[in-house]
Amino acid sequence: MNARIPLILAGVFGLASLSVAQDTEVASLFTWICTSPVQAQDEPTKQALKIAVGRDTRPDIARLMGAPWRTSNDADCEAEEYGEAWEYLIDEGDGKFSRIHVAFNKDGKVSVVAKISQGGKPVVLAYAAEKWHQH
Amino acid sequence: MFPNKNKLFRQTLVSVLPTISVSAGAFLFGAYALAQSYPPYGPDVPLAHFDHGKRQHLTPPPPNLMCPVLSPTCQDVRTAQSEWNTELLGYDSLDGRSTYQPLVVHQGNRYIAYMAHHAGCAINRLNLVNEVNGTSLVDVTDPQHPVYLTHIPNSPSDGATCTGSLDAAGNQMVHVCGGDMLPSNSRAEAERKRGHFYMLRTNGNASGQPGTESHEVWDVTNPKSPTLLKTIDSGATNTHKDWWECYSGVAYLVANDGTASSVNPESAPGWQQSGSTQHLKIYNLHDPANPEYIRDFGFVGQQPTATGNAIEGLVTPPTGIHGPISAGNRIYAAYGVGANGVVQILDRNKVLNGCKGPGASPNCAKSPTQSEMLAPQLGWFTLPGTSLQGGHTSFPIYGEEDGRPRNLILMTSEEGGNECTAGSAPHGAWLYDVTDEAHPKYIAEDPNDPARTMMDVPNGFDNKWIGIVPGNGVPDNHCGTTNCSQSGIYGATVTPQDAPVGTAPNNFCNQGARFGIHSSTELFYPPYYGRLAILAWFTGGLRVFDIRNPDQPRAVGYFIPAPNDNGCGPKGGPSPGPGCTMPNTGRDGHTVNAIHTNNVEVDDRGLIYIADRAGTGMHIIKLTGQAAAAGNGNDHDHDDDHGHGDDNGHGHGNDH
Repeated sequence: MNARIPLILAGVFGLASLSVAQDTEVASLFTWICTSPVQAQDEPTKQALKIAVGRDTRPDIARLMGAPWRTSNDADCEAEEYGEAWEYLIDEGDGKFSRIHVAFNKDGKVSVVAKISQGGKPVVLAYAAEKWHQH
Repeated sequence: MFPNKNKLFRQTLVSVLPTISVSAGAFLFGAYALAQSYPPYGPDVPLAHFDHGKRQHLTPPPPNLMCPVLSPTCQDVRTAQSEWNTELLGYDSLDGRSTYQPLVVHQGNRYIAYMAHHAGCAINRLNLVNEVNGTSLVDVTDPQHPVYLTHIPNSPSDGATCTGSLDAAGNQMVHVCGGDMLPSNSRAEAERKRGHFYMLRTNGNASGQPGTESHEVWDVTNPKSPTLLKTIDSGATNTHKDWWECYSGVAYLVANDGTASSVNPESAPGWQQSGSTQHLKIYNLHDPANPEYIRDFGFVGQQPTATGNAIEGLVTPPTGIHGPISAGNRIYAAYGVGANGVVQILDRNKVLNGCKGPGASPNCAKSPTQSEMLAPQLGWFTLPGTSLQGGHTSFPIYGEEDGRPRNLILMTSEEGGNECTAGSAPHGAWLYDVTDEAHPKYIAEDPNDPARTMMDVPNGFDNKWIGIVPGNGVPDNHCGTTNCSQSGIYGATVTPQDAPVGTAPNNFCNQGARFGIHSSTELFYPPYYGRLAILAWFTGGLRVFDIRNPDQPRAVGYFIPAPNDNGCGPKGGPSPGPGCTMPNTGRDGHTVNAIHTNNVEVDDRGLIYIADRAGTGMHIIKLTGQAAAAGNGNDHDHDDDHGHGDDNGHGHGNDH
């Protein structure tokens, strides 16, 4: 099992590098992390690791992941201000679930991908650092 | 039940039982009728009693933490459920939908919670259908056992779908009026409305595409099976926080008309705003099936014909309105939301009738002149820190002190950045003395820090502010104090993340989401009206301040919900899902599924309802201890008020 972790990490960073390379205009705004290795035991997580943060849009995610289990856009007055998030439910058996959380920035591109275990802390798979908005 | 020796007591009790029952019934009905007489349901404005009490300032206890000490084996930075002079009575997950406004209505012999949702989609537990967020109706008659009645999805007219754009979705705002309270122009109208209840809600938010957003009125007489009655203001965009006077029918709708719309004859294009692009569209909805357009209104400089620099306010064009509150013959309008805040005090009659007189300009209703914009205005003021703070909620509190009138506005800004963004202001709540409406005065400043008010929530769990540096807002002389430009801002290093593990101080700025003020309650119910400021503080949860001495407000209670780690089922259980609190992301990808208390409201039983922006659900809370004592005014042994602290909520005849 442990032997798969470097492969996954490489995949994440490889995809990230690809997306940055293909979108050089925003490349300077993005940095990449993988806070902890996530074992791709389930299909949603495998698919989530394919998400090109900073490039993929809602239609891309719908094609890759299917229809989300839950979505949210909690913008108050300006819907584009905070973007939105989609969540996917993973049935891990034995009554346990986890979630894949995909957040979009105000441009409609993925800004964060995280996995949340039941009752657990989100593990960020990848994110795009943006300049903070202020108002 | 009673021993023989208590026979006399038993006979006496039996003989007086009918009297007790009748009296109790009369009392309860009286309380109901009294509660219904206050804005927005009735025209009677309560009268608060303010005093000079030197009450003990209390230090809030630190909240409970998921991990009391961060370590390699315990890295959860979130707060656990924390109560200070509060008690959780009831809960509903609301199916994990992000929620903006809670409103609880005493509807017949039931209490119905109308929970207005942000945009999104979730599975309706009742039909297992994935529905676009709209409005959840919950029977909270028994607050310990809420019953989820129905979910009214967002109307499809705005084009929102669960896999497409959600920009136009959501029904964030809600008001409810009874047909028996709304006035009628004819006996037939009164008969048609008798016994009915009507819900006004926004439909869609900010698509920016005229023709897709609107307001709606639903007949919610049977709250389990509401029916759409009328779509109003179709063609609007940027709907937001409305106000509906049930005693008059006048509805102050917050929206904008981007361009002329053929579907709405009341479309008034060309209004100009900075920031949030919305102004007032005023209707009379006494007969909700037949709306009567009155006029559009806003801050001078927003009217379509305005040119050049704005003559009032902080920017050109002035910032858009967040929401109005009317009481008596006044309207209090807050502009700017989270920046460039301006507050306006208006003569309600002049607003409503200003375009009806013989001297009104031909297009006054949709495009008033500058003088017609200024005519109803009695006063205006900016907020401390000027550009750094915005006008979000402006709640009037009418009162007396030492036998003389003393009127206040409880003001809030809105925090906008996650995790206390460096360089932004900690958005605050203030009290303004508006007894002299032309010269509002900021009171309750922290004497040790002109940038702060005494109604504040430190971001450290040890009650110490960290990372705050003085602000330097633009020069301004309209904020009611000598330090208009002063408002603290977060320094560059304010947000210690949870790495390196075990060394970072834990605090409210480390929860992924926003920390700061958002809103206050807006209903005028005794006994808390004029005694307590009840506020929603995002990751800081519900916050309660004693304002009986408004020059010396003091913290008396808080409630911070636990994040929902279990699921979105009826009781937060696992059916379905692994937890419903939505994560937010702060700096450097710091993502936390923490609570995010968005709005708060009271009912006429003194219960408090909070709604969670992160989908954590609805919490029903009771005040206890010192918060309850302050709210009920029965702790006057601890002040120098000499027993005069229990007379609010029963005065009428305020001349505003």
